[in-house]
Amino acid sequence: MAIQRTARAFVVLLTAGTLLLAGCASRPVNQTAAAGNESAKQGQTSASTPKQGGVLKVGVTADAVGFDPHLVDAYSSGLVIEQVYNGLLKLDDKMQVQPDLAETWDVAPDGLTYTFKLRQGVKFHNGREMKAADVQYSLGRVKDPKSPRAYLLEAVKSVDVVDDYTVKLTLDKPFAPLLTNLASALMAIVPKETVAKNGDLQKVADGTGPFILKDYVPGQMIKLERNPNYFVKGQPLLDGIEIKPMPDDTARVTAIRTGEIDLAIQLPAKDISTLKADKNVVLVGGPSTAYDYIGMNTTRKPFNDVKVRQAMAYALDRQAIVDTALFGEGTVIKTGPVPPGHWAYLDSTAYQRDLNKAKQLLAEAGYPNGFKATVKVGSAYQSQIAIAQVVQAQLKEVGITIDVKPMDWGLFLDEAVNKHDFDLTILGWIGFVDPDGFLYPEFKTGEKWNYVQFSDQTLDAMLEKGRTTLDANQRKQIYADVQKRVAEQAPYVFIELQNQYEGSRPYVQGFYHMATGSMQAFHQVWLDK
Amino acid sequence: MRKYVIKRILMVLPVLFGISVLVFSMARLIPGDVVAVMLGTNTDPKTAAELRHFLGLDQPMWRQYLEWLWKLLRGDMGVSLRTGRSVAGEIVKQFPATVELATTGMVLSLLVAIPIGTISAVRRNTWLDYGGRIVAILGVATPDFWLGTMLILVFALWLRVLPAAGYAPLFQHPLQSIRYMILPAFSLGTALMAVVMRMTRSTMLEVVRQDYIRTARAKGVAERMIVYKHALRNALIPVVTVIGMQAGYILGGSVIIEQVFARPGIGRLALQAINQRDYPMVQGAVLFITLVFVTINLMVDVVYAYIDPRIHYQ
Repeated sequence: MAIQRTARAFVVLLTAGTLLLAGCASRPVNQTAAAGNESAKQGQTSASTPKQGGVLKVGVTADAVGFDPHLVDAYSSGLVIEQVYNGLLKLDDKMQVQPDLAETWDVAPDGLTYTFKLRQGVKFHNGREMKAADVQYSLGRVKDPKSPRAYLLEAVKSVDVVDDYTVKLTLDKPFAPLLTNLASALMAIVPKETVAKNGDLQKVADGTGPFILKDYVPGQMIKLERNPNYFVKGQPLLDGIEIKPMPDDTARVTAIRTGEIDLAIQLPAKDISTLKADKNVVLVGGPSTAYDYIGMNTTRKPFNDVKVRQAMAYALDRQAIVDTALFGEGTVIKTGPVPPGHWAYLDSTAYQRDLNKAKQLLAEAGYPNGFKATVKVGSAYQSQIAIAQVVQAQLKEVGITIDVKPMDWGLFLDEAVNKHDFDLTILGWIGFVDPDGFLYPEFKTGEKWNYVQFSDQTLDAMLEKGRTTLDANQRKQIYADVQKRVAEQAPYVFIELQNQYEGSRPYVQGFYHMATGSMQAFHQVWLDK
Repeated sequence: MRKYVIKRILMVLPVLFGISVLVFSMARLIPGDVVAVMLGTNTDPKTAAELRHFLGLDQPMWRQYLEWLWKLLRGDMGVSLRTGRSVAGEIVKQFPATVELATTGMVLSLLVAIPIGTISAVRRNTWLDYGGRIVAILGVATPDFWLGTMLILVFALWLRVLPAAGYAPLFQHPLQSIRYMILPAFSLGTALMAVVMRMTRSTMLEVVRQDYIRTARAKGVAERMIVYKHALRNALIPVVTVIGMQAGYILGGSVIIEQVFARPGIGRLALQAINQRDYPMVQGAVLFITLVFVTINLMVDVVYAYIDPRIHYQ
């Protein structure tokens, strides 16, 4: 289990081609629905007033892989970065864009100019004041074609310094997800001189954030210390944070149950019911912004026929997949993968299991007796292999025989995503907040992540309109239509939103779950002991 | 003796050559284009070309090998693709923790195995013997990662006497360090303990049937003296070889055990590098682990010749 969970954290990141924290949602996801009595447990102590002091010990699944906000792609690095750095903007627990280093911002009516007024007197950990030139430098670093996240600022033509505390972004065309993209924890503002001195920021950290990177012992511990000069009054409350990589699930779960650590993240699905029953552990979590799906090669027979793809969708019982393969820890996707509570959530059901309908569609497509196909899965991701096996059994009932082929992750990416050599895949995507952030790269004709090679002009036009329309109500309608169109054309069969949980000891106060997996709550966590 | 040692060292050279070829081939035997596999979906041609050059994949094979070997001989294993840290530096930093764990595991297992194996042989077919044999079979059959998990559940979760996972440096926090060490060392040492126990028992049984033992008995030597001085010392000679060979399994086992118990070490370093497709790091770690294994075996062979005067190599 250990290796697979570690790897899983990694898969999902790479799957997205971005980072867990790179995107951000717009409304709160139902955070405690699956956690039952947790709020009651929390309620017992939450009456006390926040106090300063103490060190929070956190158990995570993997060690950080470098600390450079503009280069890393591992979640384990991201959760350190969001304690050390700030961006222009951030997301609150309701997933709304909020000021961070930028105090106010102004969007021109044509959507082509964004002006940010910076907070004054903010200091980097190295003591120098953060100014507009640092914003220009940092965003330029992200926009560098070699940067893994250059695409997030693709629409930005130039970043100009107006004065020390004013920055202007000029766009080629209106780009609705821009503010959300800027609110990613990895859009950090960094000091140029520290980069120059060290080549990059992989081994050092020098931000404006609430914590300072004090010590890093690879494989053992990341020590963060309170930044006494943090610009948010009253934050942080903790004296420090100790992040310990504990890759083994049993070890991590045991450590939170015995109090060896104060908070554990990415708790394994198999242990959730046990942890819920443990009164010394407060569990928070629920559906996340990560989902699993079956991808079909739409240029390859028989999946080039929309009827076959629809038949696949009708042949599957998603709840049974979640119950059998994922210990019941998942939220079945009814139409599109936007989670309940998100502004773009669509409450309608596109497919329910209907074997007759599936058989009829197969017959109409010319496959009355079914067919054979291979599904490729990353071998390190046990839950996706488990899903594949249940899918295999269910498809058998309509005469479709699939071969499950687990393969090395790097090879999988190369064959399936780069070379399009596959019939079916089972894969995940994680960490979206704006629907454009995943629907566009996955389904727009010719995009790299559209490795199923789906091409539909109607959908292309809708996606283009979605990213250039700034009006919230119009966008809501556009993405409802997009999700319906995707469901109907079925290049993917969406399965479930993954549930994710964190567990803490009862004295840990002020922690909240973010559907994106962000640990920004550490800024305000305090210890009641 | 000196001649033998020199000969034995010379025999290691072809082994080292073989290992270097194997490790070198690793990045080249991966199905598909290794650069594409390493980069995942980041197919930026410039990055790909840089990486290809870095790995030397843009040159003829023989040249790649020689260059790599030349750098290696100077201790240059390259830098991690993920963090930019020096591979050799990381290995040097992580190795002591593995030595700590492996040594403790070995010492623990020998302290248990040799007495029980001896008793088992001397008191053959008594309940002591049966008990010892059952423990040995269970020990060999139990996978160490499973045992590790079970030990965590019993000693950390139920009894709450030991921490579930973690590490403290031995010389700075000796007490803490020992608490963290017990469960992983036990998980790692169990298989060795079982093998050594069985080996000690069977060689002891063989030795006690020898003529010189009968002679000793006839002379009226005390039973205790016979067992410890005459029999055990001779019986342990083949056991030493087994221990040497098992050292390799201990190093291999550390990959899983360090992961389960969240300890630093060379095994964890290697596994993490594999997960992150950090090939320079994987190559470095694998090469280093094999080198250690070869060295231990060399030492065992030399010790073997030393403790058994009957052995003469031509």
